Amino acid sequence: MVMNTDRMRTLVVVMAITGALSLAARGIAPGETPAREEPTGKKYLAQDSDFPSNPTRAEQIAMLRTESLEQSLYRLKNINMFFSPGPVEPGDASIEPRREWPLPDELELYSVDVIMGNRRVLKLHRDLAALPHDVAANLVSRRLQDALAAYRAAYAADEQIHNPHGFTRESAERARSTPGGSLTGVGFISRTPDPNEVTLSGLRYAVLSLVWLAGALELEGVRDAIIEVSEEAVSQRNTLYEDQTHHDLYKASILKYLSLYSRTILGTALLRLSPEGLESQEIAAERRTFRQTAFDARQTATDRAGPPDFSRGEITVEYFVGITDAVFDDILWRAKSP
Amino acid sequence: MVASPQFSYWWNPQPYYPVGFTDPPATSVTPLATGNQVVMTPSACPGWSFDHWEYKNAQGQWISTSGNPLQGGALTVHMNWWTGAGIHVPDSHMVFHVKAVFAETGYGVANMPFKYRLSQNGATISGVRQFWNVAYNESTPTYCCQNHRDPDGNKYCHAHLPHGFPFDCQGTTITQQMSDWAWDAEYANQTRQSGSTFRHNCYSYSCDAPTVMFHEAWYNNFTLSSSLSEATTQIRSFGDDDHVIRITGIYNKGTEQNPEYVVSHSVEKNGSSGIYSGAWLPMGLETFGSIRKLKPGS
Repeated sequence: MVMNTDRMRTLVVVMAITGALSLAARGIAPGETPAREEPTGKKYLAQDSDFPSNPTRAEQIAMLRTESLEQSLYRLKNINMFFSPGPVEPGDASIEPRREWPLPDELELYSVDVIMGNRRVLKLHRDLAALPHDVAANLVSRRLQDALAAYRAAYAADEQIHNPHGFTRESAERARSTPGGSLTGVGFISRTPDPNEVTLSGLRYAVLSLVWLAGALELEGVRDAIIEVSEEAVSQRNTLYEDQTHHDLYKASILKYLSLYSRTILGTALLRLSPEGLESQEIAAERRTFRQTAFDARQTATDRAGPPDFSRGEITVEYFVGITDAVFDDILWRAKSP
Repeated sequence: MVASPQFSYWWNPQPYYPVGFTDPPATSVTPLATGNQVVMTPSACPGWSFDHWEYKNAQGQWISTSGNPLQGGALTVHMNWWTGAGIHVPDSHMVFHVKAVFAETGYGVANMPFKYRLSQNGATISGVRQFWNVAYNESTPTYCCQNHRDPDGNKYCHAHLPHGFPFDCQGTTITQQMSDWAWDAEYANQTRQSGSTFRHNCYSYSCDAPTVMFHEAWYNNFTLSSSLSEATTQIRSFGDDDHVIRITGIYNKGTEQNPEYVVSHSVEKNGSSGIYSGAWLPMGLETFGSIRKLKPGS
């Protein structure tokens, strides 16, 4: 997948302008004049383009310690930080081909691991938790809407999604009948040489990360924005389910790598922000806990480099798994109900 | 693969209990029948499972362990000439023949994550490739193709690779791939036990494999340790004629039907003519690529 980088960068500039942080986010009351205006231009917000594309843990920590909240939010779409190192994606083998629909839970949990493995997300969790609840909610809600708009534009412009060559059911049948045959779906960009390069995958993870943070911090003010993300995700899912032309692996790869459809992340956020709570709504889902270190720990729980270092604090997030398509539709319907 | 941390170049075939300094001095020693214990662990290729062990007795007959309880499939032998409980080397025999026997279990569909780039220094793209008629071991990760065999009928089992390293069942790297050297930056902060890129046949190997294997421990993917290696710290160009694994020797060629092990010793030369890495590969015919140990994770 090759992104139209110039177009995406333009979008980012728009995001930077329209999504400039409120005074409240900096702890300044409405009507009050800040003593010193902080820089908010793209140059200030963007990451050093010479920063390593595959940074070490020490390099990540050093950068994040000097990063403002505004910068962290702006840079959240940097895909490299989600995969430094990122989790190992599970492979699988079976005698019978796996059913692609619905996506199995382990693939959903992969996205959770990607998000919770990003030290920038962990830093944002700390910074947002320190703000007044409504201020944090307002900030995240606005950033989420900006990120969703940028994501929608990138998704609509992706040629492999909307004008694919190949990936047909017939090509899949040929692969199956050929000794040693194989087929692929579409991939996603997981690392860019320039850390500021905007990618569809980076925007996707930025949107889902903000949804995840809103749920984790129980920012009720983000609920409407999450409903909007969820409706977009269901629309993407339904389009792919109804596609009779292309093979399942292709459709599954779009759904799990490029679409917003993550039942675990969206469903968890909606359930956590539901006024009634999970139990009273009798939703079938299993409750789990993700225990992660602080962003500046020597080793996080997802670094794959040894035992996690909780000496600098920890982040515990409760989430739900086992949410089927039907259950997710039910959660969304209830969330939208007055 | 058969592995043990207790393999050695040689053993004292007549070990005794240590004798301390006593007054008066001891006049006799006691044979240590449990001396030189070696515990071997079988590890099956994808599509195969461990079945049983066999070893040769003093009369040259193969003795099967079928039906005998084995702790986790491991076999314990005592590399000495004494008698007693357990399995011992027949008296006066210099070589002890042991083999692990594996059975084919079937093939299916595997979804394997992989990464690729469209240009040498371009963005890294992650995806999944779906293989048919293969068996795949995620934990290793290695995979075998049902129909991928050499002209002698030997089954290929693809290399022990960094997770998601691109290969297909024809033994070629997926198109537009760079050599594994080009992937150093991608894996710079991860611990990778081994890596290799091959144009043709490839087999698994491991950096910490035993230095000596039991004779006829088979089948095709047991390994010997690298005789030469280096800790890679920089990206290297790769692919010219001087960066070729050269087969320097082949020993005991055999087939699956005639399960004697096949080992070749391969070395890789760099452009400045110095040998900088090498490894033992089972049946590494027509190999092309690189073998190395990688630096430990930072």
